[in-house]
Amino acid sequence: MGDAGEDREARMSKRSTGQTTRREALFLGASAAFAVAKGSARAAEAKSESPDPKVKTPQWSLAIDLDRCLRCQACVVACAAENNIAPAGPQLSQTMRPIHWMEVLDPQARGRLWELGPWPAPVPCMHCERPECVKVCPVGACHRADDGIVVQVWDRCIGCRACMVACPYGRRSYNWTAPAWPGGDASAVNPDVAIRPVGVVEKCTLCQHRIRAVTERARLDEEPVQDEKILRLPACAAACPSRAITFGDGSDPESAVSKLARSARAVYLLAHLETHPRVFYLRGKR
Amino acid sequence: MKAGKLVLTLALLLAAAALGAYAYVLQIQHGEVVTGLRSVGAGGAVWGLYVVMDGCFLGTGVAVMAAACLARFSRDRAMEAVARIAMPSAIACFLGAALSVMADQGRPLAALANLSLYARPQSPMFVTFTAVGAICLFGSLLHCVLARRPDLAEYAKRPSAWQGLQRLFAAGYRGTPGQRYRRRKAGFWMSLFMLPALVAPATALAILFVVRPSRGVDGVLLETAAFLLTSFASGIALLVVAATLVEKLAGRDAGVGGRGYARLGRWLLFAVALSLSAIVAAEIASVGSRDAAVSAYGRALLVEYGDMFWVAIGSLFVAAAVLWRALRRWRGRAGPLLVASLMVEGAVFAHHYWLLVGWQTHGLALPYEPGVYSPTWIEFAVVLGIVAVCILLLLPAVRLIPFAPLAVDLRRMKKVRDVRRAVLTSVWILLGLVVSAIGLASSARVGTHPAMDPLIAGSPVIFIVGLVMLATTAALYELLPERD
Repeated sequence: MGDAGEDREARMSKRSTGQTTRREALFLGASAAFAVAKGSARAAEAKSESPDPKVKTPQWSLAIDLDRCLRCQACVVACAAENNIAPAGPQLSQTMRPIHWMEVLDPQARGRLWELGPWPAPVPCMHCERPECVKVCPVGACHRADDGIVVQVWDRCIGCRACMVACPYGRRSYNWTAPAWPGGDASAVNPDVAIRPVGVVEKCTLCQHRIRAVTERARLDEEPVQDEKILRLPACAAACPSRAITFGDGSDPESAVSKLARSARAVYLLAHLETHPRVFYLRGKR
Repeated sequence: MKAGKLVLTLALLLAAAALGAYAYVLQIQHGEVVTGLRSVGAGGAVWGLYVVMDGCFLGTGVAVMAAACLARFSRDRAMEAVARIAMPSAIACFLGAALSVMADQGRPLAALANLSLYARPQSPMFVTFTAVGAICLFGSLLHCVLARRPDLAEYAKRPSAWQGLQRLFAAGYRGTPGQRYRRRKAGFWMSLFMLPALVAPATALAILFVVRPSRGVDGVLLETAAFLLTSFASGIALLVVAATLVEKLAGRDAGVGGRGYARLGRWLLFAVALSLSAIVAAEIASVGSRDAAVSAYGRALLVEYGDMFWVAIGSLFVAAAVLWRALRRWRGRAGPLLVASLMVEGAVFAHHYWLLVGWQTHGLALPYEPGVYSPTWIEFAVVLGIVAVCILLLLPAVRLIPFAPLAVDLRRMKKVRDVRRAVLTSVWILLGLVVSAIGLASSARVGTHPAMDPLIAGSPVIFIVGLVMLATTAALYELLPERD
């Protein structure tokens, strides 16, 4: 008891002389560590936010109207031309290794119906809000950008194909061999889109390069992106002769694509899987 | 083994390895177009023989190593002999798993670099990448050397080409009662650490094999159980095969004996019975599912992959019958066990094959054309090369640490109180935990956006270093010099 009293007196005298006790030192150290950790977390948070919080990031969305669609496959061809998808040629076609970012699927081939009825329909990447491919990618080569586009970083992809296995829509393609153009002439390729090497997975980007160009122009002009100017922005939408494909900002309630999404005709593929696709279909009476 | 047979075996193994290397060079040169793999939806399977073999190797290796850890808990001499055989077999399996998965990568060098820099714990492949490297390969190797140090100390006294290395690995071991006590304690804790650490990669692999976005939870759970149980059966079967081979090469010196075989046979029968039940239950749940797509897929599997399915079921059933008969009238002969084990290995391969490939060709949710998958000679050659490389690497290891035990009288032990050793070991564990936690947190993108790079470059490697530190705790505890 006497010793405890002496200890207390010693601590009191240290305090009165301005000396730091061991407990205070520990407390100060812990506080400093907490402050540093909190600061770095905030800095990282700030880094990940958009540069101007007042500017709302759009959430790109695509509507495909099956009552307008002619199944002419113009969208498939336009997509391949725009995105430097090399022609498969007879060998790759015969061995079932062609690359299609957008493909017209025929449900009758397997004698079964789907949400879209018995008719064939063009199917691109669904750009899901909860993408399975992103979950399984071991190196973060596949991620969902702030604007809702599920992006594939070619250079980081290691070619494990886990994303292809995980995607319930089967909308990812793999470069089984190096891309080659007829006659070895790649002069017609689009300079805005990278040519993917052998051994990586690739997929629809909703023509991200076109979106970037439009949004950058709007930013320089200090004007908002006008909905009517981007309705046919992706190559598939631009090529569609019956204007069956509509593109726009799904987060803007006034955009055409948002209005279509709210209509009773909107149908989502494999909705029960709760992947929340941002590409949807329209079918039924207009 | 006679010199002539040994030279012939080595020549065959080298030829198989060379063929595998040639096939792999062709695959790298032309892309995976030379394999039988196709795009899912375009009528094929993107994961084929390589991933099936990865599942077989890793599942079997985990089961074998787990059996070795369990055998170390027992003080049965026969089980100790089984553990001695199991450890190098497991290491060979892990090596095979690592090589198989590398053979499947489109860009293998980018895979090594990018996994080291950016691997994400959210992906099941993170566990297989980190755990196979740190726990399975390194931990098992360390466990194997530590367990055999007394034998190595004895072998190092005999003149041989391996004497220098044997001396190095047995350095400091004098067989004092204190050292014997520490060895047993370190072995016990190492086994205890390894058991759950081995379950993680096996489970992650099972998830990769069975989880489909379009499947119900009940079917997935049953299929996961079937995958793990068949892997367990495959591991025990491999142990029987390895023990028979070792007994043939080293004679009765290996020490497995009739009792060891009988125990392995009972384990195998138990594992086969469980595997059969799980496979049948999973298939019934699939065919009888209320979800029409899942039910259709279950039926398609029975039709399209019926031969594989019935081969797997039939082989397991016959193996169980052979084992039952052999164990009821046990005469100490390993022959029937060996036959049953080989049947089990074939059945497990067939099971893993239709489990992985079947749903890719016939289980898609959207109305794609049904696919086909037939491995090409390139894939077979690469797999053959991998098996040959594993055996070739195993041969010098077996020469370095022979299976026959030399150290005797392990019972005399003396508990020695050593505070300095306990404190240093505790600090090392703590340090290992901190390093692995930092590596894991940074890999999980804590403090940054999920789509961005980790805050610390190479954080998956930091996580692996932490795991390696934890695995080396037993070595530190055992090898720290005594104070005189």
